[in-house]
Amino acid sequence: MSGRAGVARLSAEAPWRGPARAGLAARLARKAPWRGPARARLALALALAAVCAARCSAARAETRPRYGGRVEAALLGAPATIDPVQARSHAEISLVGLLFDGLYRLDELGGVAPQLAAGPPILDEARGVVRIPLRPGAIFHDGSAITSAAVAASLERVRASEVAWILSGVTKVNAEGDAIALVGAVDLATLAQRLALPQAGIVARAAPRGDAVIGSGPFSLTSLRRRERTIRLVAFDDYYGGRPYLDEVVLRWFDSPDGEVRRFEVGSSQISLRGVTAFAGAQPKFAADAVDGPAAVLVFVGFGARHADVTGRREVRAALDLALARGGFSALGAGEQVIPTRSVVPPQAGGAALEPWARVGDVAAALAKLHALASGARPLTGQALARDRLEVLIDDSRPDDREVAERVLRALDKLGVAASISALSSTELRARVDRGACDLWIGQLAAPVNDAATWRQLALGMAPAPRGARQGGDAARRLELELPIVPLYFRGLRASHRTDVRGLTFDASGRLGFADLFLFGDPTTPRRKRP
Amino acid sequence: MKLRGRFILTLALAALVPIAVAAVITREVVARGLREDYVDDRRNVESTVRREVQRLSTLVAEAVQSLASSSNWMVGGLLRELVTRGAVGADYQRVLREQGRSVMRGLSLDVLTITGAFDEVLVSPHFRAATGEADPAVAALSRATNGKPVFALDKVMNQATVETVLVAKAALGVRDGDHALAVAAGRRLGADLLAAVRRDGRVDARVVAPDGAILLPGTSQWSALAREPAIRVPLVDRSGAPVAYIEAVVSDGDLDRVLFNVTLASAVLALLALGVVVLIGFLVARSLARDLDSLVQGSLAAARGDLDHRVPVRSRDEVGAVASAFNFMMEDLRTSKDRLVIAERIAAWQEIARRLAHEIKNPLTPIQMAMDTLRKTWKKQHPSFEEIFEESTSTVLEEVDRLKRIVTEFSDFARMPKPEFARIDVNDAVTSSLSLYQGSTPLELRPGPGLPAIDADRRQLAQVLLNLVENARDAIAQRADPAGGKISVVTRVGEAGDRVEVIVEDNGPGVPADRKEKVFSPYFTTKEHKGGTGLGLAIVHRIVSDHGGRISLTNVLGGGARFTVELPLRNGTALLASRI
Repeated sequence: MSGRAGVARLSAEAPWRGPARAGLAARLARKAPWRGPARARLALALALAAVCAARCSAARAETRPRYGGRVEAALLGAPATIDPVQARSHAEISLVGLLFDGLYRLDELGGVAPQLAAGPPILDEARGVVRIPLRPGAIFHDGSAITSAAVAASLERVRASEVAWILSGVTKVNAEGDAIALVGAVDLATLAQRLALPQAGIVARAAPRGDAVIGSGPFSLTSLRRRERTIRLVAFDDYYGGRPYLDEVVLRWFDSPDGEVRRFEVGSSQISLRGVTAFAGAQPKFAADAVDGPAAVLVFVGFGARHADVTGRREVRAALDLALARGGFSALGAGEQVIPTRSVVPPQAGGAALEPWARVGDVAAALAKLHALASGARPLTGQALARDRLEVLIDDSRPDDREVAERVLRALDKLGVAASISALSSTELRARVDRGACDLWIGQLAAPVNDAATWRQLALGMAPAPRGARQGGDAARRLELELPIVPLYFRGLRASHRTDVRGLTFDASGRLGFADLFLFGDPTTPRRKRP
Repeated sequence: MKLRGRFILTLALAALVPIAVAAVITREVVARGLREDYVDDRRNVESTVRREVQRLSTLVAEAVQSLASSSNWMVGGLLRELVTRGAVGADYQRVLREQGRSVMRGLSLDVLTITGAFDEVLVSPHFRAATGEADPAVAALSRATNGKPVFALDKVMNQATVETVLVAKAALGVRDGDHALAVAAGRRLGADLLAAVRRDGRVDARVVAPDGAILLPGTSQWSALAREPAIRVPLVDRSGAPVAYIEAVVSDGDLDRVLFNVTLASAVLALLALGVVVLIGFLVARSLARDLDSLVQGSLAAARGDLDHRVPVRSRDEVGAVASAFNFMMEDLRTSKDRLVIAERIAAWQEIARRLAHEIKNPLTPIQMAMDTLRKTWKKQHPSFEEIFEESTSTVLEEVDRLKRIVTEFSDFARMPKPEFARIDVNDAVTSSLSLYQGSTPLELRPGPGLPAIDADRRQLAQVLLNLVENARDAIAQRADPAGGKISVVTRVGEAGDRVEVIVEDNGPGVPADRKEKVFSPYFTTKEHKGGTGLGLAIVHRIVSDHGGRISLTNVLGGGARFTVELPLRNGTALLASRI
């Protein structure tokens, strides 16, 4: 089946997927060289004629997406988990999004579209339940049907997890034929949006662990090798939404930015989040373009309980919040969008803009906050704090974490707090954070929503607290009182990709969309720059 | 101390003194030399420290000079960016971030800060977290010092921690039109500088803050080397105040060690010399002492009366001459003694003859007078002839009896037998001998404790005691109050432990000084009227002499005489030996 035929078929079979595919078609149309101005068309026609004359064999320049091929891309760090309910970082939600479909999804414009659901949630007023019809014929990666019972069991897992607020108000999830029924006081207006979160992805049977994951997404997992920093995904041929164009996607993460850049420069990978900067003045092997994603990944400082008498005090967190010079975060990364912030809500979701003073920090105010506590049970003066060297944990696979941590250390140093950086693997970091066995840690939070309440709920979930305690209540108020994390900045991603890689887009959470990715033509060499 | 010991000691001292003097002088000379070297070393170390500090400062000054120029590719490019765009964009900031570290490494810098408008940190590769913040100190330093290096404490990002380090730092401003930059570059005062100063086991260095806090520690040798005050070189900040000190210590351990070695070598040499001297002295002393010992033995033999003893003459030196003289003396003594013996024998016989004649003469006079009286009365037919005859013949017979007794005693004295020696207990012998006086004589017997047995003739020893006690009884009988007379007999071990002493003491009138020499002579008596023959003490003297002992007489303070008999423990042992 050709790609274009596939698109048409999918559009016919899944009308709610239309906008996405239509968008892709539109992009393809825009990128199609025959759609340019007349002079350009003429030049192109001449060029094509010349090529055809030179190579009488069948033209190799594809004009439509073709199936097949393998793409290697970088992840923004190592995923600590492939369990949807535990996914927080950009790498985790990116991976979860490829492996697990939810009942709904958020498209790149932020709208809600059904995925495994056959339609929007319907309130059955007579019974006091919300029914969600399921798409018929959808199957898991192991070939088993995605039944209402499986979906209900998966949602019950969500209800029992730290993201139970997704199903806030739901007291029970029942399977009812080809639909599920949510029992309880359900906020119907936001239910579909909440169920579109990657954390609500539908899993088969037991919780995913290692390679034994059975999802329902466009790709299935073939291997996850942390030692080789590699995840291999293959296209799920029986994907209800149509088989992806690519046969295989290899996702990698790196322990240094250089590693990723070098691999991209020499042509070993097709998509890089760092661009081309490794070899100063050198030409990369293949020409590349860049695509920018929205600043939808929150980078923050989280707090553990190892020195709970310090990091557990809101005043200390507030002092750090005040002392941080957030302006410096603008220079982080490889040119992607970086928006320093003191809010857990991204600007596009109504988050407050950074105050001018916060770009350089207000150390005096921060010290005043600490000194105000000097008469407390434990004085929080510089000397007292310097005794306990705090540890800032970072994920060694996330390239910017160390520099972020250095800026946190600088702020702590201004407060007289001694600290050091410890780089851990993502799984070790996650384990330490979950146990509370840390002082501070650099975390990421990504959510494909532009809803402030959802972001606040996710932010509250970053602090160690009794399960279920995050449900309900005024999240904004609790955030203000608890300050469970100190937001640093929102960042987007800039994906540099070879010119033969087409259809690369970001969704609202800054995730790369691999489902519509395809290879187009041969890789080209970059044009030489003029001296 | 014996001559041998004195000789060896004297010889050892004679050898030790010059060695000790030589060792002390050597030690002082070496110490002085090393002390001068040590002072030179301290001076050299201080100049090394100052030279290294100067070198570091020069490097920093040169580095900042090369950086703070529009021709420098990074700073120049930054200025061009400012001139072209009016500000440093985020992309160019990323370029600067990439370039900053390589520029810093290329110039071997540890600290590099470039600030622009509003003192915003544009480049800070040593602490990239400072990028974007305001740091007015850089521009202030460039204005204050204009490229002159100073020292300051700066913060750098180590691998995982913020570290405060001491840096040599210089700052300069650079301007292009309205756009100005301040460039500060510094090099860490680190282990390389201290390493240039350090010498293993000799010199160590460290960096301390003015309050004494250690900024860069010395090596593990520091405490061992820091016995002398440290050399302190101040590192001043832009105001001239010391921000830290480089402290260097120079060990005088070599001095101590060398001095110790010199002392040790001297001591070993002295001991060796002493050993050799002692050995030589011992050999010489043994040789000398052997000859002297021979002389001593000869003298002892002479003292014992062995005048036939001769000492060997082994050399012709002074000792040999002494030995020859000794032998000659012995020969002479032998001759003299023979003569003396003969003379004494003649004299003794003359004395005995004189006394015997005197003793015999005394009875002859009454006999002669009695016979004359008989003859005269016979011729005259004296009517009382018979009475006279009876009286005269009676006198003659008495005097003849007396003559017979004198002759008998003389004969007994002359025929006194040699003692028959046996091991006897003196206390036992004394007690049993004097038992017959119990009750009749004021005799007090005080036997000494732990008295050893001696070789003696028990019968003759009893004779000695009886004669002495009889003599004492006669003495106390002469007291004005004979009842107050008292005789004490004491036995004891002699002072040298080689003899037993028997003391017989009375509280009679004592012996006049002019008679003390004669009391042991035969036939000397002060008791003629009591029939004393004058042989009692002579017999005592004879028996004691035959036992190898001796008897002495002393007057007791307050009246009385004391006879002390000294008897050797073993027969044949001369009492003289113990006195030498």
